[in-house]
Amino acid sequence: MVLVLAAGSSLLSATELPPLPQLKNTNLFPTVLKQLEEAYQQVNAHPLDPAANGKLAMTLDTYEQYASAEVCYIRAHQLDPKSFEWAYDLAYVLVKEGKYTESVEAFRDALKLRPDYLPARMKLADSLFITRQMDAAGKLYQEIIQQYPDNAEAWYGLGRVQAAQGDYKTAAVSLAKACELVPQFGAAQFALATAYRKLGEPARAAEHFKLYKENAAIVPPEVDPVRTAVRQLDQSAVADIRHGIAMADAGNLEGAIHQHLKAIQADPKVVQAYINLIQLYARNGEIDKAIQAYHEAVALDPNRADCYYNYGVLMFQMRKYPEAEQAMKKAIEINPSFPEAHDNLGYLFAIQGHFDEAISEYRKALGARPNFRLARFHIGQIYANQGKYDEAIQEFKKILTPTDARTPGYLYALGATYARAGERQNALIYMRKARDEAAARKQTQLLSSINQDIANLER
Amino acid sequence: MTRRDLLLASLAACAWPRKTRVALPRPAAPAPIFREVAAEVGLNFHHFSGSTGSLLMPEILGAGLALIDYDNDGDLDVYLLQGTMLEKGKKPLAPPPPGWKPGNRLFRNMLSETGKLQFVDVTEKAGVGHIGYAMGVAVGDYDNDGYQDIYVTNFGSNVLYHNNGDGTFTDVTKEAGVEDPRWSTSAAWVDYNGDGLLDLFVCEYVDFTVLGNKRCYAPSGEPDYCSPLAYHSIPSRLFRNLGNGKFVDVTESSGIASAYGPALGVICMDFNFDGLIDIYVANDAAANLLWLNQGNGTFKEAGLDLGLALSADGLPKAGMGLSADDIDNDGHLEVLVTNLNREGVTLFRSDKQGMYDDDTAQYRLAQPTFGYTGYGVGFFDYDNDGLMDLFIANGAMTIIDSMHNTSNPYAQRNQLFHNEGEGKGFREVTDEAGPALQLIEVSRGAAFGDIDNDGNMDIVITNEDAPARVFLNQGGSKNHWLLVRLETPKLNRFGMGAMVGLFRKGLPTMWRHAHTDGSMLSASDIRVHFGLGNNPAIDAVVVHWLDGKKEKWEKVRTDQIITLRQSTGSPL
Repeated sequence: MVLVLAAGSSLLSATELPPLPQLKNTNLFPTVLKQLEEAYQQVNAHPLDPAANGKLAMTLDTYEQYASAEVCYIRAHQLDPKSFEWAYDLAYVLVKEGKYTESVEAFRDALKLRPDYLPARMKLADSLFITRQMDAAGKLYQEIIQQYPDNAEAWYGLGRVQAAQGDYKTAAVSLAKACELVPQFGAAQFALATAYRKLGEPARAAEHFKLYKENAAIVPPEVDPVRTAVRQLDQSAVADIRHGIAMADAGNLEGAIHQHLKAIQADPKVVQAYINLIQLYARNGEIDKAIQAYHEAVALDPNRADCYYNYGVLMFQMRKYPEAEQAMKKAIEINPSFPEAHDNLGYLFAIQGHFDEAISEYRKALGARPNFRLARFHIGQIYANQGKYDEAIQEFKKILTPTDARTPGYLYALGATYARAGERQNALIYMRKARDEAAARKQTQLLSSINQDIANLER
Repeated sequence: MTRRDLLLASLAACAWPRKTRVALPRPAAPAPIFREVAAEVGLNFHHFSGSTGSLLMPEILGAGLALIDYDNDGDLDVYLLQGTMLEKGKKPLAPPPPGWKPGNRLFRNMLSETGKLQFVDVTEKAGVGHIGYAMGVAVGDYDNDGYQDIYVTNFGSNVLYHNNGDGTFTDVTKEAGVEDPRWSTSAAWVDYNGDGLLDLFVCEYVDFTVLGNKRCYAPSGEPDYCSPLAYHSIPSRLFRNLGNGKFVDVTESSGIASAYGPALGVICMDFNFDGLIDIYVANDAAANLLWLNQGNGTFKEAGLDLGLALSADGLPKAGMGLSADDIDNDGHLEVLVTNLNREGVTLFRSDKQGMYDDDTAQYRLAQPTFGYTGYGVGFFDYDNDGLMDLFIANGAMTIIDSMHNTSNPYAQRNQLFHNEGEGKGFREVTDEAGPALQLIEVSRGAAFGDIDNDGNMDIVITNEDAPARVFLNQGGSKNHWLLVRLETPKLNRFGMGAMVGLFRKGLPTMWRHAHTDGSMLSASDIRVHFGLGNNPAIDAVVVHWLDGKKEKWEKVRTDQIITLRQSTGSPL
């Protein structure tokens, strides 16, 4: 018998490896299916090639097919036991599968190959923590901190170990260090708030819970080239759209549009990409393309409320009010609980002088989202303009909290309504509050208007 | 035979003379803890989701069930919720079996009448066969006539059935003012303002509509059910009972509207031990909410402050089912939330200083539940040893990779955990529980109660596009027990929300509460169950009624179902 060996493989035959998992599902994005089929073909052609097995594992891994990925990583690891990547990726998917106990050993095995690989050390410490091996976890986090004193995640891990051991005082110190290093580290802020709560310091706890809420999902940027290589394999339309949205949030409209077009290439039927493009093109000043994206979206799925909503906003911006109204109504027909669509429809009624209909729509927006402050503000505006000052004041007072960028405007509206109602003292109180809030937020244009009104009132 | 007995027997076998050839008997399989008896006892109900392949979210979510003694004959009847076609004119992927009847079904338990556990479908006579897309059910006597009423939540308009006390119900939804056309899920009856009238909390999920159904995908691009994040959550509602058969929506004035997420589970209990009933809501992919009762008709959200909002890593999970109890008899609450697979359950434990810690790993529940999507859930004492065990009804909401190419890629087995005692956490005993627990289905609702009145807690579950199951407890432990039914003369007639304490010499006091809420989409037996181990002695049973009165009953015999009527005990 001739044993065919792939380059770099150990003396293993295909029968000694765990059987290759089957590609169970072919109802995938076309690009993903092609990518998986190619990876499978490579393994079938070269079953003893660790790189082929590893590449297939990575491809399955990136699409969260963890059970299959685990098998392929095992094959790659067995074929090339000296490769750190396969050992580490294997440990990583074990965590993803909730096999924490197994992952501890797997991370230890990987670290024998590259003892200095920080992400692996961190993840080993995390798995030790989850499996309640507190002393070992704490020791490892401390070792990492000694080597990398600015590693916020290690301080966070150490803080959690200390908290789990009941030492909240020390935990608070470690967690505070993590938060100091990365103030937007949501989980660390949460853990620190919890520690302060345990220590009977409610004010500090509240402060850090607030910081947590502002940064709940933010974690320090991960520097893990091995895992980055896995993530980079993701060619799904979903990933493209996700990247596109992130780019748009960062102000990179061109990049966002490009990612959405890439998503459409990956799956021409992905209607969400077209719906997002309506807004992205509009923001980028490419109105014709925005309208084209709307038509493409409707052709793919005529019942997407957000599609009509985006189009309605576009029509509103183009001052095509009848078209905007029709689009908002269509969005509401599909989703009667669409607060923004109700609010916009209300606004469209209001600018036509149909105030009762406008208030009715604003109320529906509030029914769908009771804390929708803008809709309530719009109601207050109508009441104020109608001279119903008491009603307007009542509405404006309900939107003063939480305090955020909108608060100065709302305070100003309240102050102005008091002024119109002839209640000069109250008007000044709220105008001055509005001034302070606007100044703190450097809302210069608003500040100028407020100062002018305050000056008039003080005369 | 105990574990120790088995060990001695095998040692004896080893000591036999070598020349003696004895065919050793194969070790007998352990007696099953539960036996599935639905068909045997006539509980023939097949859930129908109406799924057509369009992957409409409601198809994967419901439905629940209720255990309710609607005719006050002393045994638990079963009310099961049904789906229907959401897309008219399309063919269902899983058609219902021959003889299937649409709409919710009420099954009357004939145990008290005939002495035999047997169910008869009385839906038509009772008038509770609403045909809609049913989700959840809440059971409570809202008009204090001594008969428990039923509130059904739907994807669509909800229904309040008033129990007429003669075996029939009347749909009073409109007159009562508790209609809600949106997507409601779990609901709970709760006397939050202490006026002796049960008010109603209704969980609302997201703004999904059939017309506006979105296409969602697994990471690989495989079409799958959407997560709630694809839609907007809608605010849950609180209705105050006016006492004249009508309710008023107090969602905004009570403060409940100030925060909300996609709500799936609700349980009402005094979480901060201030004597007022609070409301805890499990949200799907959002922080759970704890509404602390301020005692003046308003609530303050304090999930983060008390540690019940998020798991220890500060991340929201897909909260679904809920259970809360003093599982280790230390006088403090533990709260369990079921979540999605790859999240596992979260167990919050009171730190005895008014706050809660995520102690899931300490209770050994993190790894065993990681791969399961938990729905209905309950702490209950299946072996009557005095410690609350745990059952979780499982079934995925998105396709499970390893279940591809099986008949149902959402199916999972349910799980049973034994409480091993203080500091030892839970041990999974699913494999030991018998064939009933080996069924692999898409389980949803779970309700807990003693349906054959033998002192052992049974479980009834619902399954997506499959039969409901009755897991009849085989009572293998032979331990002692007590089942307490509460009764008041005028207000809050079934003592909903009352605490019942069982006192025994040298043993910790066991505190349980009378409730039907918790789990998910389901309502459980309102009677309060105590497992007493092998010690039958009871010194006293104490009841803390919601109106603030406290009473004690002494010389209570064990192994019985007892009704404790308010004002018949010794005041405390």
